[in-house]
Amino acid sequence: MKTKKLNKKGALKESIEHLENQLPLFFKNPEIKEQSAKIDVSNFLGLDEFPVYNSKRSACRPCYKPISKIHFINE
Amino acid sequence: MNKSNYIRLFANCIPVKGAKNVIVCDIQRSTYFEIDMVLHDILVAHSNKTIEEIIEFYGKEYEDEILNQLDQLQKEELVHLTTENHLFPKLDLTWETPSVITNMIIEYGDYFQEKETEIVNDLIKLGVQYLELRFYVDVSNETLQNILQSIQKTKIVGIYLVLQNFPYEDIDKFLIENQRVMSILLSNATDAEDERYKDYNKISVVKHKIVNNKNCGIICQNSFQVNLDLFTESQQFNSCLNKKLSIIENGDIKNCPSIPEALGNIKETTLTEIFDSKEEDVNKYWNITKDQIEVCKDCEFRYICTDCRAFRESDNIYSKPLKCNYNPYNGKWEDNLRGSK
Repeated sequence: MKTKKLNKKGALKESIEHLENQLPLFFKNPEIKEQSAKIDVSNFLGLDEFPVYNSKRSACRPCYKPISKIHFINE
Repeated sequence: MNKSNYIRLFANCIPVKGAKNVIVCDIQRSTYFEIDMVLHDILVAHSNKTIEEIIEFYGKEYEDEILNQLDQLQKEELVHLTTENHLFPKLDLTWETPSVITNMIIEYGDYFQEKETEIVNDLIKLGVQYLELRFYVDVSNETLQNILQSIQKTKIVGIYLVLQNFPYEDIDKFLIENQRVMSILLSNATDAEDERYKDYNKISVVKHKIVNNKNCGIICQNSFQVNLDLFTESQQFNSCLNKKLSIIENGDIKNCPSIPEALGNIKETTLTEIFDSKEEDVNKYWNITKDQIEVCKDCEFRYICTDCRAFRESDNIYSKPLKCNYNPYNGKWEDNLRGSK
């Protein structure tokens, strides 16, 4: 039984590296440079006390349909 | 245009045929396009034919007209050409929600203070997502703030207020502190109030005094919404009453505030008890689709319009909404409701 001859050593790795460059950013493992910036949120009422999950902002969205038609008044 | 190709509507562009007119609902761009009836047949009935075969079907004398129409559709980004017709399946139009009740309407009344805790707990249990809170009398700053504060514990993502007065001096502060408030309708507004709120997108004013739920039910083009959720919900369920529950001013619990049938009174029971014990009465109207309603079933707007079962043309549960003046058989709005607020 004949086996297919493998590519020369390193060729496969090179091809993967080539592919990786074409991947969207989401799949890459980008180098993260840590930034530090002090943001004063004490006077910003839109943010709540949990900075990681900002429930007040993320939990808001308009309804996909009118809840009622009381707003549509023929004036 | 290569005539050996097939022409296909993008999956998000869905044609809806009425008695006289056809629209293509673009549920991704939230808009709709009116198209010719023949064009609808080309896109739907002859979707398995190449452009060349379509021209052959209608006759060579219509070639320029057909190509011109298809070209326009392509420019509007409603269609695309392909040689692999079978690779583009239709969208799945199934509608699902994790909530027992999605939309709740509460008319503020004497019952509220005593029952507030139970109501808020039930809003959480039922997974209510959107709330319309109506006040038919003036409300104090303190009362409104207390209610909004208690609702913060719930999963509600959008609150709609109907007010007779706006009890806050600092509008910006109110809107920032209460970001779940998506819209405020101020009834009985003066000219000065009209001027004061004109720059606020979330606040609309009407000079008319809204004193009860009889004002509801008007169907006009401004009430149309083109989106995936409403389009899919309308295929299987009633676009207005599905998964809706209301408490009216006297405490009666209803599917919609404007329908006569009460399911119980909040002073004697709770929302969850009503839902558990009278599920069949609660969802009496939920499964009435626009495809079953007289006249609406022939209307091209049937999947982007929200229905009304409270005000109907007759006692027949499937009769046309009384406050809709669109006639799908001649394609005309029969009075000035078109474009009304």
